[in-house]
Amino acid sequence: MLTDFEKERYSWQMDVPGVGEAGQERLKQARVLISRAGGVGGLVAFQLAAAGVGTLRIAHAGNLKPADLNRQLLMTHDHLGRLRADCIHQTLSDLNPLIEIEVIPENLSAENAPRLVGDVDLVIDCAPLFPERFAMNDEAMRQGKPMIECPMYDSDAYLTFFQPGRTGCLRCLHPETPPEWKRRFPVFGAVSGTVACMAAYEAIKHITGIGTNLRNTLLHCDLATMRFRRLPIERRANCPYCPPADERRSDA
Amino acid sequence: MPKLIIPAALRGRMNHPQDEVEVPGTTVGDALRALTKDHPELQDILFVDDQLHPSLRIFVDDQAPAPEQCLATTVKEGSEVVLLPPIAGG
Repeated sequence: MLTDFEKERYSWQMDVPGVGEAGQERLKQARVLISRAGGVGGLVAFQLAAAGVGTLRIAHAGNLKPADLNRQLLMTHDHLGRLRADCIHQTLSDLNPLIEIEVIPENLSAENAPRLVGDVDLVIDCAPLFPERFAMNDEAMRQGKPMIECPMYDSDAYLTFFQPGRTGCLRCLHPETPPEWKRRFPVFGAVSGTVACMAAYEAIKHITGIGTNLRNTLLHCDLATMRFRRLPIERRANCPYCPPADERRSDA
Repeated sequence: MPKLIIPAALRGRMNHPQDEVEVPGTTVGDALRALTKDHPELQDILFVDDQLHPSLRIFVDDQAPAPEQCLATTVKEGSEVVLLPPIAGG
């Protein structure tokens, strides 16, 4: 049940057609895992905290460095040299003390993925390395959890919604780790934040039931040219990571 | 001539970045080989042993050719071919 304060706090978004108290209650009951809270994941977490997602679990290791601060907007200058996880928790708690925030000072891996994915409803993949992304994907597909994929590079951003049994997965989109991918990539926070906000709304749509998610569709945004394209993607035949196809095959 | 749409992730690898390149050719394979002839710095990103890199996604006029038939897919005057390499910035 929403409290009177929650009804007031979220009143403007509850006015969105199709949300109302029932949609807000679904957000309150939702449990979402975000892999890393950097330039993308941090803004995803910020938007979902503001929207009142009841439980946010965030996996992000390491200590804050000066070079993080141009885009990782949950991080603050006074936390330099300290655990990123502590700064993430403090910023999100300051924004919304009504929700549960669990920050794990670990990056996602094949070893911890079963535990981290285990009791959430939805996962959002914001890691900067393909092994982490594949570990998240493989566990989400194994457990039948939907996954939002929202990578960026320079002025490019991709966005899609993987739903086990109804779409392909990250391994279908990119079967192999590109050897040329480097941990450091060119980024303005305005670009990583743009795809983050769109990814957060994909999550809100899925949880509340409003709108249409990007199932079997890859949105490519080039913010340098402002070209946005919706492109069809599908499950690869015999993908060993996808669960059996759901015969409903509805995008509704 | 078909037009190749070059995303930022590939533009950054080009010696002379362009967001669109018109190239001769009647198939995706022709068009990509024409691109790498002018921009050999893209060869290793687009091809592995003269086959399309398995993680590169190609779209022709906003449709996705089957990966195994992609290089043979017909393109025509004005076709837009979008090249999307894997990216993981987060």
